[in-house]
Amino acid sequence: MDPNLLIDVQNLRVSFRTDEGIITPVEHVNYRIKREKTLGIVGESGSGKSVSTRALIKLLPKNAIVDPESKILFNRGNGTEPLDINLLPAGSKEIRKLRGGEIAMIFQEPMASFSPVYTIGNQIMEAVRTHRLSSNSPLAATSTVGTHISESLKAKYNNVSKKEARSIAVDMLRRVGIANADLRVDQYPHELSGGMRQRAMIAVALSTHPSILIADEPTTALDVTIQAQILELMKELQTELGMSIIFITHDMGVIAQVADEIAVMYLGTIVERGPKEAVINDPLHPYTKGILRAIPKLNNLGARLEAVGGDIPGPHERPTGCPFHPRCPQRITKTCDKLHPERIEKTPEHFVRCFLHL
Amino acid sequence: MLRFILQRFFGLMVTMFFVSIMVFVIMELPPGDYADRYAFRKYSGTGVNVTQGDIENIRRDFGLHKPAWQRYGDWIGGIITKFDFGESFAFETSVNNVIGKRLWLTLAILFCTLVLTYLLAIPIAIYAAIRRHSIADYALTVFSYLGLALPNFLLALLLLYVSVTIFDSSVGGLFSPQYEKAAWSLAKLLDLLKHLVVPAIVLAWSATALQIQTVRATMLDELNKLSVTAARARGIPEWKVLLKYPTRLAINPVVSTIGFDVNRIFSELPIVALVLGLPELGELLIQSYLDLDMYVAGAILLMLTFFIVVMNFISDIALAFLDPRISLQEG
Repeated sequence: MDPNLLIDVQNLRVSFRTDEGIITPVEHVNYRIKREKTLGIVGESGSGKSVSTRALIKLLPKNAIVDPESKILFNRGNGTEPLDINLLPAGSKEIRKLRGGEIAMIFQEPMASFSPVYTIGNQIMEAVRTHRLSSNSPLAATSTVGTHISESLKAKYNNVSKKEARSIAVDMLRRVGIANADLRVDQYPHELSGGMRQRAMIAVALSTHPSILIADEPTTALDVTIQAQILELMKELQTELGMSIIFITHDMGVIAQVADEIAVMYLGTIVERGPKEAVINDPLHPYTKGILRAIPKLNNLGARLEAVGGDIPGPHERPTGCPFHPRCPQRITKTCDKLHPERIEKTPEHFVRCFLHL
Repeated sequence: MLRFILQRFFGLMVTMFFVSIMVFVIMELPPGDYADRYAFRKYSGTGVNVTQGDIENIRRDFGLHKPAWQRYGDWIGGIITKFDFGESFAFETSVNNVIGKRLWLTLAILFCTLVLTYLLAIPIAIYAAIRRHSIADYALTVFSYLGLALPNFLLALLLLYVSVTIFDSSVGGLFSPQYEKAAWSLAKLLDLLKHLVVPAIVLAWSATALQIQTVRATMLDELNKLSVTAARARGIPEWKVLLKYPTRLAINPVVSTIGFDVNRIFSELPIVALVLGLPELGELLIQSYLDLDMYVAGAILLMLTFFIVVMNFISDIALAFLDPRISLQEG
C-alpha cells in the first residue's frame, strides 16, 4: 500500500434490513484519504455520505449489513500490513481502539452530541482516559493500534490519571480557542454557545490525537461567521497535529475552502472524484455540473437560481442503470437507464462514472 | 444548590400548612360530633333522658365547645410543639398510642414496596429497551400489562392461597404468632420481612408495570440520541456507554414520580391490608370516621399527606442532583 495513503475504501456496499425488505443506500463506493489531506464529500441529504463514512468505524445501526466483499484498508504505517477494518467484528476491542483513538468523529449538532448531564471536561477526559497512555509511560509515543505490545505490559503503564486527563482537557479546550478553559472544563454543554460547543466537540475528538477526523456536516448548524472560524480552526489543527480529515457537507462553498480532494455523491454512489481544482474548474459528471451551476453568483444576484431538475428518488425506487439518469439532461436512452456506468479515470486521479466520458 | 433546597423546603412548609387546614376542614365535615355519638352510645337503651344540656356538658369535657379556629390552633400547636396529635375518643388514650405502631408498619410496607418496585422496574425496563423487539422484551411487556390489569385484592387473595397451600405458611398479619408479643430481635425482624414480602409484591406489581413502561420508553428515546452515538464514536465500551448516557437519563422519570407512587400505594394499601389482615393506617382511618373519632382521622390524614409531600420534596432534590439543567433554571 502506498505509504502516503491512510485509508483506502474499495467497493463499499452497505445495505439495511427494513420491514419493507432490504435497501442498499450505498453501493460501488471507492475513496481514498491521503495522509494530512482533506477529502470533501458533497451530496444531497440521503445520498449516503454519512453511512459511507460511518462504515469506517462500524458505527452503523444494528440492521446494517456491510458487504463482506467490501474492503476498508487502514494503513497503520511503519511498514506494517494494512488493516482491513471490515474484517473486524463490530463490537470488538480493535474497533473500539480505532473509534476515537485513530478515527475520531464530530457531528452536525454540537448540542446533541454532548450528553446534557455531564460536564464538557468529563466527556473529554473520558475519551482521553480510554485511549491515551500516560505521558510518563514509554509506550505513550507509539500508536495504540497494531503495535505488538503485550497486554500485560500495557496494564503496567496504565492509562492516564484523572488529574493528567484533566490537564489534557484544559489544554485541548485552550487549543481550540476557548477562553477561560480552566473554568469552561467544569461547565455543562447548555452553558456554552453554539460555536463554543462545536469547538468543544472538536476538542473531544482531537484530545486523543487521532490520525483522521471525520467531520459530518460540522458547520451546518452554525451561522456563517462562526462557520468561517471553525473551518479556520480545523485547518490550523490539521497542520499542527498532522491528521487527515473527511469533511462531509452539502455546501459546495465550504468544500471549496477546506478540501484537497472532492468526492461527489449521488444516491449512494460516488459519481465523480478528483482533486479540488479539477472538480470545480473542470467538472465531468452532469450532476457535478448541475450543482456547481446552482451556486448563486455574486455578480448576478438578480438572476433566477438554477436548480438540478427533479427530485431524489426514495430508497425503494432506485433507478436501474445510472442512478442519476432520470434527472440527467444529457442521458443516452437505452444506455444510461440499462447499464451501471463503470469508473473511468479521465485525467490522473480524476474519476467519473458516466457514459458521456467513455 | 443550597438555595434550591431551601426554596423547595419553604414550598414544603407552605404546602403542609394548607394541607393541615384542609385536613381540619375534612375532620369537621361529617354531621354531628363525638359528643353526640358518645351520648348515644352511653345512654341509648338505658332509658335515661338526655337533654341538650347534657350533650353540651359532654362537649365541654371533650373540649369540642370552642370555635373551630381555636380548636385548629390547639390541635396544630400541640402537633408542632409537643408532637401530640390529641386524644382518641373511641380508644380513650392519646392518638399517638393508637396510630404509633400502625404508622411504623405502614411505612415499612411503603418502603418495601418502593424498593421492590425500583429494583425490579429499572433493570427490567433497561434490558427490555436494549433488547427491543426480542422475545424477552415482549414477554416482559405482557407480564407488566398483567400487573396493570389484575386488581390488587385478587392478586392478594391468589398469593394468600398459594402461600398457604404450597408453602404452608400464613402470610396474613405482620408477625407469626410466636413473635406477636416478643421483644424486637433479629428473628422477629426476619419474620416481619417475610410477612412484608406478599403485600410488597401485590402493591409493587402494578407500580412496577407502570414504571417499566415509562423507563423503557424514555430509554428508547435516549438510545437514539446523538450523544450516545458520539460516545460510541469515542470508542467507549458498549456497557459503559449504555450505563453512563441513556440509563442515567432514563431514571429521571422514575425519580420525578416517587411522590405519585407513594400516593398510589397509600390508596391501594387499605384493600390489600384488609385481604391480608395487616394492621395498617387505612383501615383505622375508615374505622375512625365511622366512630367520628376525628383526631385519629386527622392524624392519619395528616401523616399520609405529610409522607407524600416529603417524598415529593426528596424526589425534587434527587432530580436536581441527577440533572444539572434543573437547578440552573431555578437559579
